[in-house]
Amino acid sequence: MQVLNFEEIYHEYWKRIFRVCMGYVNDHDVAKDLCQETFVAVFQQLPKFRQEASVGTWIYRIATNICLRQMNIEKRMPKSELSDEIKDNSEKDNNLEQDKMTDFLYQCISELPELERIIISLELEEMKQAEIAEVVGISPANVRVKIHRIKEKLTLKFKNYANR
Amino acid sequence: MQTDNINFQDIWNNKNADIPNIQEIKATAEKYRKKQLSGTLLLMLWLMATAFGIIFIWNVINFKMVTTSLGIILILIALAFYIYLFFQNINVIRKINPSISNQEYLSSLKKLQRQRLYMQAKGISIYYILLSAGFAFYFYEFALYMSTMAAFLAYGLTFLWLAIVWFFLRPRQIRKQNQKILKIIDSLETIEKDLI
Repeated sequence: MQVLNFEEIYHEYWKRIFRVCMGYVNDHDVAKDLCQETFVAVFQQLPKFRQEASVGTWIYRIATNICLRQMNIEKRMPKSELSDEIKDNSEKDNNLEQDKMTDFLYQCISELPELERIIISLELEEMKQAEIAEVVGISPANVRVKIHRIKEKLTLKFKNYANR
Repeated sequence: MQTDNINFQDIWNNKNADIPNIQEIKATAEKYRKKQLSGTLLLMLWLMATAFGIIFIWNVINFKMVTTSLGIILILIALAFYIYLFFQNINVIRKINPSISNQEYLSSLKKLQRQRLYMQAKGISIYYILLSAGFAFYFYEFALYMSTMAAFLAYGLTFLWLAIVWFFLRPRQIRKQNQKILKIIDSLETIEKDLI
């Protein structure tokens, strides 16, 4: 059995988990808090982790469940405004377009139903569909269908955005 | 903007943030552990204080009648029970293991909320029954020294108050608790619909 080191896991997964949380809430500070909650749980559960699933599947399960339980702590919160950060880098025009698209993508994802947010975020983190199925608890075939539909929705939104 | 073939992957990966210091995580984990521990300690202390209170009243103070002691003891038990309910209600969500699948997690959350619904409604009723019985016994000794009219008034008013609590305050308290929990169950069910 592979020996798991919390620090390695932390540095390997932090950015990925942050993006998944960001896709869920589209709020920088809330995403950071959710990320922190996730790694606190990882830190506490690591000694009990028996590696029946891969480390990735295990961590993403914790992170997405912590996102899901959010609404027990606060009310459900779809965020629809573009984040403020983009306003600060007006000097970098090239990056601006790219950043705007990124912010728009996260905004679109955070407006999807909860489980769709999770499914598409994991897909974009290049997780195998069979593993996404394991995280969410639905069949791989269902995951494939859902990803296809979500991507269609997102493409449509991007087209409308470009034609504004 | 090119929209024919959007590479969502690249756009997605463009999101960046600085990784916070790992010590923050360890410090927070420690904080949670201490909080949990102090909560448990506080509850145990309170329950022990109640137990000592009961022993003290039963053995040391000599009321003329056993009903007076019994009354105070019932009131103490009622308060201890209320505190127990209160502690049971904090941090329940953290008690579910988060490393199960989303589907299992959602159904555990729902089960937990249903249990809370039952416990709170039953718990509040038990609390008021204990408290009412406690008062009834406690007043008995004093009522004996009063005139019939005064005793009748004292008991009448006490029971009138208890009736108001039972028929008006208790249902309101339960309804308020339940509304919060039902709202959570409701949104859990909305999320679950997407699993199919």
